[in-house]
Amino acid sequence: MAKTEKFKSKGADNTKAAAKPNLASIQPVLLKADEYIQKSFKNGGWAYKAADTACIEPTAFCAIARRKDASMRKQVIDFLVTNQNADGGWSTSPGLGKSDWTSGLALLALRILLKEEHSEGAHAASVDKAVAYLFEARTEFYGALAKILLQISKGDEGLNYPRGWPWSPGCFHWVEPTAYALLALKIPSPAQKADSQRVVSRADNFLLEHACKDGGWNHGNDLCLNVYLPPFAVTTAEALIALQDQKNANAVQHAFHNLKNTIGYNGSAMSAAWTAIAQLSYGRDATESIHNLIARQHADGSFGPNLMVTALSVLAIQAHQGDNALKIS
Amino acid sequence: MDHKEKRCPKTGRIIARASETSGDRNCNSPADAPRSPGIARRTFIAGSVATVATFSMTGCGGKTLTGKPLPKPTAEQAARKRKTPSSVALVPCASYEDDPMPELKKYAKELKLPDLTGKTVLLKPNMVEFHPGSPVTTNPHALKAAFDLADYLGAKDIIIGEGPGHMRDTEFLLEATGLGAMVKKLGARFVDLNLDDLEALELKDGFSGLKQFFLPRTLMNADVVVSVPKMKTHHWVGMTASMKNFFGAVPGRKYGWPKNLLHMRGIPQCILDLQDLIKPRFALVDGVVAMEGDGPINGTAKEMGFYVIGDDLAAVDATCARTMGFDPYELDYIKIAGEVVGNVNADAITVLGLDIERVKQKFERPVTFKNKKLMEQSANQAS
Repeated sequence: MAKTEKFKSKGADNTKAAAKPNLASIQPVLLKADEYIQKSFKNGGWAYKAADTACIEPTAFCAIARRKDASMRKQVIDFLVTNQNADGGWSTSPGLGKSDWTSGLALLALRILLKEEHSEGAHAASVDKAVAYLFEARTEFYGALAKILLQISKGDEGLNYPRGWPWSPGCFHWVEPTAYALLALKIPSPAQKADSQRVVSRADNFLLEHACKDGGWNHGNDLCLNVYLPPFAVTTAEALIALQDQKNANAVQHAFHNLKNTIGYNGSAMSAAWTAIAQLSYGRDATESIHNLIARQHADGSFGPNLMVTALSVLAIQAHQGDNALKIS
Repeated sequence: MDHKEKRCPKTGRIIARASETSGDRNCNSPADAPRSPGIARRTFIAGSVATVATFSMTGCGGKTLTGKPLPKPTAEQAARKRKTPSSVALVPCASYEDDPMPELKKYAKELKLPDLTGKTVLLKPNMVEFHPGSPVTTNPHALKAAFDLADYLGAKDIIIGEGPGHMRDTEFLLEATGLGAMVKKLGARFVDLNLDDLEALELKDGFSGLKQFFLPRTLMNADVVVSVPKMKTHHWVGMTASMKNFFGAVPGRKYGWPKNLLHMRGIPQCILDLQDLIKPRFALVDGVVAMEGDGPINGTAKEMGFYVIGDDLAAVDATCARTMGFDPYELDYIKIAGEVVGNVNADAITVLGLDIERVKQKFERPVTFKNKKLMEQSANQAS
C-alpha cells in the first residue's frame, strides 16, 4: 500500500458501542425514536429529512414502524393510494417521473397497514394493480426470438430463468429492489395473483444465484470482469430478509457464516438495524447488532442521517422485542 | 483439473476460472433452484440485440472503446464547446501530509480561477464505495485542499455533497473513508446527494436520449459546483476523473445503487449530458495517489504526487489521461468532450506546474482494453 495513502479510519470495525447498554432499558430508546418519527409526520408521509418533501421510501418504513397508530395508518394509506401512478407503481416522490424501485416498498407498506386495519379488501384494486405492476416491472433479458431458442434448447424449464427487479424501468436486476419487491409479495402473506408463486420463485433464484463467493451479497453481481466481488452488509441483510422462506439454501447459510466479514458490518445505524432484523428474522441472536444500534441513538431520538434509518432502527428494536414486521410467516 | 483459487497478486481478490463464468454454478441444496438455461446466460446476452442497442448511437463519427460508432455532435451541441484555449496545472504534492496551499494559490491566480466572493460552493468528492487500503475515494486531505482553495477564492458557504454510487450507507462511508471526520474538522455541511429533494431538469439535445434528469436541489441551487474526484482507471470507459465524477451527483433515490440507467443509456453519453446540466466551474483532481488496473474499484494504488486543477474539465481530464499514459483520443467520452465541452487537443492546453513528460507513468490498463468481449458485457454486468 502506498505510504502516502495514510488518512484512513478504522474502516468497518466500528467501536461506537463503547459501553454495552442494558437491553432492559431499551424501551425508552424505542419510545424516543417513535416520538421523533411521529413529530416528523407531515401531509400523510415522511421525507428523508424532516424539512423536505414526502418520499415513498421513508414513508414506507416510518409507516411500518408506526403501524399501530390508527390515525396515522389511515392517512398513509390515503397518501399511498392517492399517489399511486396510473401504471400501478410509485415514483420516489409523487410526480417525480416514472414508477421506479420504490414501488415494492410502497406495496409492502400498503399491505402491512391494510392488515393492521383488518381491511385488506378496502383497497384491493390498488393492491392488485401494484402487484400487476411489479410482475411487469421485472428485468427481462430476452426478446421473443431468444425465448424461442431457449425453449427449443431446454424446454419450458429454459424459460424459468431468474428474474429480479431493476432500480429503473428497463434496466438490470439488483439485490435491493428485488429484496423489496419480494417482501411486498410475501408479507404479510403471499400475494394472491395467478403465477405469483412462479414470479417469487424466479426472483428468489436471482438472489440465490448472485450470492458472493465469500458469502453474502454485493449490490447485484457477485462477479465482475472475472473478479469475485465482496459482500456488503446492507445488501446482505436485505437479501437474507427477503429469503427467510429459503432458510435452508446454501447461499443463506453461507451468508450468515460470513456476516461479520461483510463490508460495513455494524458500521452504522443502517447496517446494524438491517443486520439485526435479518438475524432476528431467522431466530438468530442479534445482541451484538442491537447493542451497536442503540448506542448510536442521537440526543433527539433519531438514528443515523435520516428518517428512513430511524424507522429501520425502530423496526429492529421491535423485532428484538418479538414484534418483527418483516417476518415472513 | 486444478481447483485451487487463483488470486490477483496485487489486490488479493479471488479471480474466477473461465469455467465458472460460463453461467452455471453448483447447486448445493435442494432449496437452490436449477440454474441457467442450456445456453449460458451471460454468453448468450453478449451477442444479443440488447447489448448492441445499449451502445447504438445516432450518427457516425469514429470508433469507440467498444469498436462501435461514436455519436457525431450536432451543431447545437458543438456550440457549447469552450471557445478559448485552456490552462491546466499539475500542482506538486508528494504526500497527503504536505500542504499544497501555497502552490494551489499560485496556480489559482495563473489559471484565473473564478472569484467566489459571496457564493455558495458545492464541492463534489468521490465516495463511491469503500475497500480497506484501496484508493477508491477522494482522499480527505484532497477534500481539505479543495475546501481551502474555495475559501481562499472567497466562498461564503461551502457544502460538501456526494451521492455514493455503489453503497448507500453514507454514514458508514463517511466514517470509513475519513471524509466524514474531515467534513467535521472543516466545519462544513455534508449533503447526501442521493437522498436530497430533487429538481426535474429538461434535457434538450442530449446524448443519452433521456428527456429529463432528476438532480439534487442542493447541487442545482449552488452558485458554483467544483469537481473533486480521484484519478483512476475505469474498466468501462478507460479512466475516471473530473467529468465522470458527476455520476455521483445523480440521486440514488430515483436511479438506484448503482445508477444503472446511466449505464444502459451509455456512460459516455451520460457523462456529457451531466456536464451540460451541472456546468461545474472547475476541478481539483486527487492524483497524489491514483488508481491503476481494474479501476474504479478493484485497481491498485499508483503514486503520482500531484493535484490537477483547471476550469475546463475536458482539458483537465485530457491532461490526467496523458499523465496516465493514455492518448485521450482513445477514450470515448474525452474524445467527444473535446467537441462539445472544452479542449482535449494538447495544442490547445497549456500545462503549468510539473512537466507532464517527467511525471507521466504508464498505468496498468483495465482488462477491458485487452479484451473487447469483456467490454461488450459492460451493459449486462453493469458493475
